[in-house]
Amino acid sequence: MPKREFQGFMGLKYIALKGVPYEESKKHGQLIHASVSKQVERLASHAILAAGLPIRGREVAYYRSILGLSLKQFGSLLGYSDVAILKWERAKDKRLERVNEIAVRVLIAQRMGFSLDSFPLEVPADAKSPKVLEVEYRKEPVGVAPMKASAA
Amino acid sequence: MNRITEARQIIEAVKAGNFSLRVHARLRSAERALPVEEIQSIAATAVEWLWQDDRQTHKFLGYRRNGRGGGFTAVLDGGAVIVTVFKRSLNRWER
Repeated sequence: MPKREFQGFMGLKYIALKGVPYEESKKHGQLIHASVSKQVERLASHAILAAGLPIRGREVAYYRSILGLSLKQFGSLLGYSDVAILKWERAKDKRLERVNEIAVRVLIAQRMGFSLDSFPLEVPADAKSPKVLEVEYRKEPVGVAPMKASAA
Repeated sequence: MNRITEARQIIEAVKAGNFSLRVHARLRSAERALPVEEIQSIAATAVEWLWQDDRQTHKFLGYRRNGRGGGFTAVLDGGAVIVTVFKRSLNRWER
C-alpha cells in the first residue's frame, strides 16, 4: 500500500504525519481507511503528550475535538465552567497554568486509554512548542506502558 | 440498487467502521474536521438523508458526540466512501 505524508493535523500545524497508508481510487482519489485515520488520531494525540509539549489553548481545542466533548462537558470533567474552557481555547498560544496542564494531561490519558507511564505528567516551565513534531504511522497499540526490565 | 438501499448500506458500513475518507475530508481545517468517532456518531443518530443529484452523493445529518449537529456526504463503493464532513447546527425540525 502506498504511503504519504501530511503536514498539519486538525488545527495543529506542527504535526507532520509520516508513512500514512492510503489507497488510490480512480473514482475518488486518495482514500484513507477509517481504521488508519483513527490510529493517526491516537498517534498524534499521544505524540504531543510523549514529546513533553506544553498544553496551550490550541492543544486544548485539538483534544476537545478528538474527544468529542462540548465546552461544558470538558469543563465539568476538570471542575471548570464552559466559559473558562472557551477562554483557554481563545488564548491559542498561551500555555495553561501548571496545575491545569497536569489535569488536562491526566484527563486525556484517561479518556484515550493511555498509560500514565507512557508520557511525562509534568513538563518543564521552559518547554516550547516545536516547529515540527514528526509522527511516524505504525499499527501497534499506542500509549501502552513501557516494558520494565525484569530482574534475572 | 435504489438510493434508499444505498443510503442504508452506507449508514451500516459507517457504523461498523467499514469506510474510507477521501483525503480532502481528512485534511479539513480544525474548524471543519471531524474525528472518525464523530462520523460514526452522526451515522448512528442520522436524522436526515438526502440524495444530492448535482454532486451524485448521499448527504447525512446527525448528532455528534457532544450533542451538536454534524454531517457527511458519502458514496457507496464496496464499503462507504466519505467524501466530505461538516459541522452544523440542527434546526428545530431536524431534531
